[in-house]
Amino acid sequence: MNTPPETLASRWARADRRTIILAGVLIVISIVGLLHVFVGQWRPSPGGNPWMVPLICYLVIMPTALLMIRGALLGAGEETPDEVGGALPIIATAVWAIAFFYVVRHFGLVTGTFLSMVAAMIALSPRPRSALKFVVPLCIVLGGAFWLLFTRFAPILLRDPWLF
Amino acid sequence: MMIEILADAAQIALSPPVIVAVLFGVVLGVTVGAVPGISGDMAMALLLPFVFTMDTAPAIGMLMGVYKGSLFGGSVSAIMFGVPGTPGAAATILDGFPAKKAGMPNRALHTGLYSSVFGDFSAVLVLIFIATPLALLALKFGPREFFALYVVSIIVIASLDRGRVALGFASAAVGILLSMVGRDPFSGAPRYAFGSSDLAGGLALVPVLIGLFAVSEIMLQVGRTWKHRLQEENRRIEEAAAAEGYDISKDRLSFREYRGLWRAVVTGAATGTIVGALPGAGATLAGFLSYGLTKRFSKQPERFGKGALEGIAAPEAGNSATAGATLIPLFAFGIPGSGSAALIGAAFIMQGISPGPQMIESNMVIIYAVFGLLLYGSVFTLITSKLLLPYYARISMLQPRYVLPVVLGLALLGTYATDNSIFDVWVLIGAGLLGVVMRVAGMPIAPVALGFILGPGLERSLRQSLILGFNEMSYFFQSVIAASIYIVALVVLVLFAWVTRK
Amino acid sequence: MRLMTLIVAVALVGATPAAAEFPERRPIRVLTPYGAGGGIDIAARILSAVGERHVGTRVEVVNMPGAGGMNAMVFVHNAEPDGHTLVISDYGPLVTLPLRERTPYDADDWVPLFQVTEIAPTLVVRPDFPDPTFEGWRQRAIEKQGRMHVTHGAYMSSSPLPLLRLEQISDIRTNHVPTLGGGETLQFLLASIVEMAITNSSSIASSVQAGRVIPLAVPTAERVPELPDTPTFTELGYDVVMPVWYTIFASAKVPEYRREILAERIEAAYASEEARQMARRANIYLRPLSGDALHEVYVETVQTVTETIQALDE
Repeated sequence: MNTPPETLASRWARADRRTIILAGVLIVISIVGLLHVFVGQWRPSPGGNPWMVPLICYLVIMPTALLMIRGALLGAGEETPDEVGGALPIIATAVWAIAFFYVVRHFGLVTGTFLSMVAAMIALSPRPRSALKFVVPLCIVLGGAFWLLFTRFAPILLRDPWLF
Repeated sequence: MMIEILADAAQIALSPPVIVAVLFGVVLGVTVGAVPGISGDMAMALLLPFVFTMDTAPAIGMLMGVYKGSLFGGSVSAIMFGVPGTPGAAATILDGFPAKKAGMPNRALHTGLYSSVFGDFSAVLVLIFIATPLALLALKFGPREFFALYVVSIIVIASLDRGRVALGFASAAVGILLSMVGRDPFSGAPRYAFGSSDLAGGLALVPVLIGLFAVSEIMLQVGRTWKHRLQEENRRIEEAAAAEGYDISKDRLSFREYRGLWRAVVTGAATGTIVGALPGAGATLAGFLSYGLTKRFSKQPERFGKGALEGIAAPEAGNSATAGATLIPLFAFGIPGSGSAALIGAAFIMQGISPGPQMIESNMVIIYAVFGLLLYGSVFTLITSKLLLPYYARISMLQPRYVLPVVLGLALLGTYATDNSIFDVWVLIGAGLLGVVMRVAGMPIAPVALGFILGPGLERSLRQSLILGFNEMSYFFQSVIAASIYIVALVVLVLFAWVTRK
Repeated sequence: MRLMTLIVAVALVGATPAAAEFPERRPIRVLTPYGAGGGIDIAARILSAVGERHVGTRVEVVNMPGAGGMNAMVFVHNAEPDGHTLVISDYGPLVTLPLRERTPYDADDWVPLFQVTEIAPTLVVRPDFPDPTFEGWRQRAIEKQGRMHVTHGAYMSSSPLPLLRLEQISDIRTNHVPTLGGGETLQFLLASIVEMAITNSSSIASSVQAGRVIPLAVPTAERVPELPDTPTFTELGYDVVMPVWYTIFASAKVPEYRREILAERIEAAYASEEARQMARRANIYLRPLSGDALHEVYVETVQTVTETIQALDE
């Protein structure tokens, strides 16, 4: 018999929602940006104005985001997203990065590198205890290598640290 | 007269100290290039103090060796870890990393090496023979010509992904917006700084690029490693199988296979030479443009992004070709085409040779010696890298749980070492998180990164043109060069559309 | 009681040589608010190369270009005032920045120790310019009523400021096209996109000799050695004295005797044959200045720059 006319609801049901959400976020960004361009405090200057290129960008993002939604509703193919192991390890990595930098600057390059590297490698090991035997000597060497690299070859500005 | 000059030049170029300096530079360049977070520019900047105490030929030879070596070395970590060792290698990841994951790291690395050396060598030949005419053309470029070039580049880059062009344009625009953070060059007033003096200084290139490409990849890989850690038994069996499955004798690049890539290599070398010769553009843009053009003209575009060797050959030939080409405007007119060229220029200045109109004329012998060492420097890259590659290939088979923290640590401290800016480290981590969100949301990273790189130039050329034309739009099209760029771009786009329709 | 006095005396005697032991063995850091490879960096690296012998300890150059140079200034401002952390800069981050934005320091928080060189932001035209003299240029600019294109470095950097001041005190008006700096500025001039450019006297010297460009005037107190035939604005009757110096500064919190030791030894380092040879090779025209003369130059620059920028804001 006749196929029922396709409703928006049925399209939505099988549409590429990831793209629609992304496009939605982009539209929100461009609306906020446009508002800021028109009501924000800007200092005018010759040759267009400081807000000229941002304005063009928002005016590009808005219609392209709408086109993305249209494409998604019409059923353009979705690509498989990158495999993500959950939000927690990603946040943990960011926290580790901040901690590493803090420890290196406050405790010293070698100590900081050693402690952070041991912690990270043990955390990622399936068998933490047995990994220690390999990880500890490896991290001592790494500490030395980092020290050589970042004090002799590409010196970084360190405070006077507690330890090395 | 000319023969005497060439003989003197050869004598300098082939003297033992010069050969040793070039060799040292190349080995150092490949190594620092391969280490993510330490770029060739950084190594060159760090060597500058030694330039004072050296003679001209070995000093320039050493720096150029580092530059050449790092352009190839960057591809090693791009292919092995999916992390660009130098910003120029960012485009190499697109196919290099998938190729490694598909179990052919050795073939990918050799494709990169041969293409790098070919691109570099041919660009040096171009430098030697047509430096002056090309630089004359580049010198004719004013703001509106640059604007045309930037617009066309962004359009090409945004439409890299067939079928997702809208997303490409949106991503490029987001990248340009990111580059707007900081002081407006035309009024000095901070933009999008929210009262922070760090933000008023702008987002630096190194942390943004390493963050978007590398840190986000590391974060996702940590996630995967963490997840797999819980499924220990399966993982160990998998690992054993993977290690057993990898047989280096089956992962060899044959001459016939490489010969099949000639179109990608030549496209890359030509694109890199032209882009490198234009002031302001650089290795990163050359890599992406070569990749995009090769993909558009490829017979098998669907294989791109999945480990196509063409997708490695083109950007590697492209980014390495900029090493020689970037010297063209520097040698002829004293205009450095990139950050690296500015460092080479500084080294010349330290040696008492001012890059500029009369540089070649008044320093004939030394310039020809430099030409000579540039040529054999390519051969050094080939030989030393060929010897080093097996070791790098083995590094890639290391466990991610040992590699990831080290690479992240290097990226963090390497970024800090560049400008001694703590804020840059926060930008690096922030850009990493943004990259993760973008990957999860399906937003391509390359156009964002390119928008970020090209944004300032685009804005500068647009607003300079408006000042020069007293805000008349017609000013943009009254230049023969600018109009030709638009027409060529239009023709190419129509051709693309026509070809893809079939 | 006697014992007590003795202990105090010994402590004092012990303390005095320790305090006089300056500089200590740890290195002296010279920060630059700019990246590696630029003119200021090269000027600093000369000191780093010869420093150990003359200054008494190693001299390390640290590039810290973040936040438009403010990070380097804040770092030195907040550092222990022991004379082991110095900064080499032009007047941008020291004088211009505090006038434009909120900074935790201002021009009074710095004491100049030693001026390494002085650079003139030079007005140059192409040889095909009709009547390539300052007077010829001035008349053409007035005829064109503000529609003559001129180019220079970024807005508020040291290259447009002399021109802005000239326009403030005369009837000359031009159409300013800011660029990224040196290379781009020169390119727009040579490609006939603009009629006049303002660029660095030491980098333009070779082009002048080759006849590629003709210099019109320099905004320095006296003529510069690299362009001996070019008149100063003062000679031409305009009060525009805004040279760009590269000067090593200490925080004003550093004790005076330490600053004196530093100034003396840095001067000796730059006066050494080795340093002069390096500077010659790098086209840096050493113009050593220290003490009261240097202080006077600093105060004058602060005053002129402040006047010019305040006039702009009105």
